[in-house]
Amino acid sequence: MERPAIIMLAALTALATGVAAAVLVALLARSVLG
Amino acid sequence: MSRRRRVVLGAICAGALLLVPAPAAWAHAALLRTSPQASGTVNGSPARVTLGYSEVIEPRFAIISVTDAAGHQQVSGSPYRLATDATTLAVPVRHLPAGWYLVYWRVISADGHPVRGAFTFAVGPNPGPAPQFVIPSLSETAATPPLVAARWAAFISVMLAVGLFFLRTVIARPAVSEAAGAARAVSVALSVALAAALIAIPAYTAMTTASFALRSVFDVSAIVPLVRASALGRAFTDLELVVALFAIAAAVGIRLDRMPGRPRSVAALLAWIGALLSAAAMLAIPGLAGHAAQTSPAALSLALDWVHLAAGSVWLGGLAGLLVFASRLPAGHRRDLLATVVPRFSRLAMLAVLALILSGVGSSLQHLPTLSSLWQTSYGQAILVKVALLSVALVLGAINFSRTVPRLVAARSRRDTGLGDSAAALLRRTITGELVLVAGIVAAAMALSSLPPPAKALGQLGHVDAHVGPGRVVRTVHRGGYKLDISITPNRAASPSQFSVTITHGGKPVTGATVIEHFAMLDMEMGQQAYTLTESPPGTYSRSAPALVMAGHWGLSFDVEPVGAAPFSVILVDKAEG
Repeated sequence: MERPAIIMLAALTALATGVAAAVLVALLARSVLG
Repeated sequence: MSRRRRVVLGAICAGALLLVPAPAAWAHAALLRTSPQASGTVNGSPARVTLGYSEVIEPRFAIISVTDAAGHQQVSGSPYRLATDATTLAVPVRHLPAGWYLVYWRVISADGHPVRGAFTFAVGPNPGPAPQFVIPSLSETAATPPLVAARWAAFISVMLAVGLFFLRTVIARPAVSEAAGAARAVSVALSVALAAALIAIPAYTAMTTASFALRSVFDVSAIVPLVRASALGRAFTDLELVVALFAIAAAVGIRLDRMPGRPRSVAALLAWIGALLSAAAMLAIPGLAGHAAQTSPAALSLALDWVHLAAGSVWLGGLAGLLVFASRLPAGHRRDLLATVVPRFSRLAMLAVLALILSGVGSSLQHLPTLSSLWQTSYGQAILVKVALLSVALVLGAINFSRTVPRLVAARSRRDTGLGDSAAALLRRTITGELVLVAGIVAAAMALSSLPPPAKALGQLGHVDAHVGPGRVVRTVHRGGYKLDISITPNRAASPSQFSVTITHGGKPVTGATVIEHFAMLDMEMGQQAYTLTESPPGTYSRSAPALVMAGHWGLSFDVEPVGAAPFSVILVDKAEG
């Protein structure tokens, strides 16, 4: 893979990680608040 | 400090003074129904004792003991949840002979606080007089030193991680190109904080689960299956996951941000947004696991909690990061780079502290039922400790703001190395002091979030006419021309007391009045009880009842309705001992 492609892949991984964390907390909030 | 900033600070202080009494919202598990009825008599032994609560209760963390007058345990199995009603717990009992029984219970509320209580019932037809039961102590809380210490370690490492990341990628970013070594040191500090968080969070979760289940923390095989049985355990296992996700996103974000001084690339920006999202999610979890989610309106209290924690993180992590950053700067550039970074941090810290104070005052207004609960309850006292430590930290912050920052900037423009060095030394001292104080504030906050907020009955009580007890009470209260001679004998917890009030008006007994006595436990939420007092002899209204079911502070309200005259209430706060 080209270097820019690797960089973009890493960036998207980080973004997906952040979104996953936010979704996890949203699910937790839903179960706590009912 | 500029004039505008002084005005802002004055406004904050004035806002803090507006800590007026506000109705508190409360949602700890409260016992609503029991079978057999509390203080009642049943004919024949019940097969089980049931307790109905205000929220769903986890039976594996519940303790229900049923003892007879001699203290012998009568429970014949573990507590279980009724299949038809998840808020009701039941415990099977042996065949109970006629006599009095004490039910003592302890459950874990949704926010992880133990809640306890006791009541008595009698098995008839001839139970005899109620005996003096020995009441278990009220002192167990979630605020034991090891638990508070573990909670502190978990929180401070999470807050440091967020603040260090923010310092590295936002505040110190303009200086990173000339100080790669210092930036690397901040990244190393961030890794250490994250590693500490990843260890401290499961340790704290295991310790709380062990204390809920009354087991040793080393009894791993028993504790691990129970971790996700409590709301607090679920939230903290989620926190561990989110911290791990933040670690990945932050690592990628910092790695890609390699072109300092220039605008971020699209890739760096995406990674940075991902890391900020996970950091924001991370800081929402403690509120969801604690008081905030149990306080109505939940959206407001969760938002206040999030702002409080985020502002605290930026401040705490920023201070720690600045200390690390300053110590690793290349000697030749130190003063210039500090003159770039410190004013940026100082401005942001000012905003963070402002947000911290406003959200803290907001939460206090939500949680404290009365102004006096600020100094009369341990919850309020923990708030006062936080405010005191914060005031000292603010003085140090003000020194940085008004002395250090201008000196650093002046030293750079005048190329005055002596001034720059002395300013850098002053900076190191004040930041170290501030850091220690903020760590102390977080410790007070951990004690605070482990203590139950004061019961709302305290706010509903109204004007208190007298504080009485412990021991036998004989007290005279005057109210609107009426004289009330109140006596409570022997005023001991869990045994029946004789409550008596003799009412006279102008020296003559007031006869035919309706007198209702309400009992509210003030140390914890228990629901109210009320008894009608019967008149005998004329003008004296009395009743013998085991109404003070546990040791602690009780709000006693005598509602008097004289014939053909306006009703009135007399309120006593009574301390009963076991």
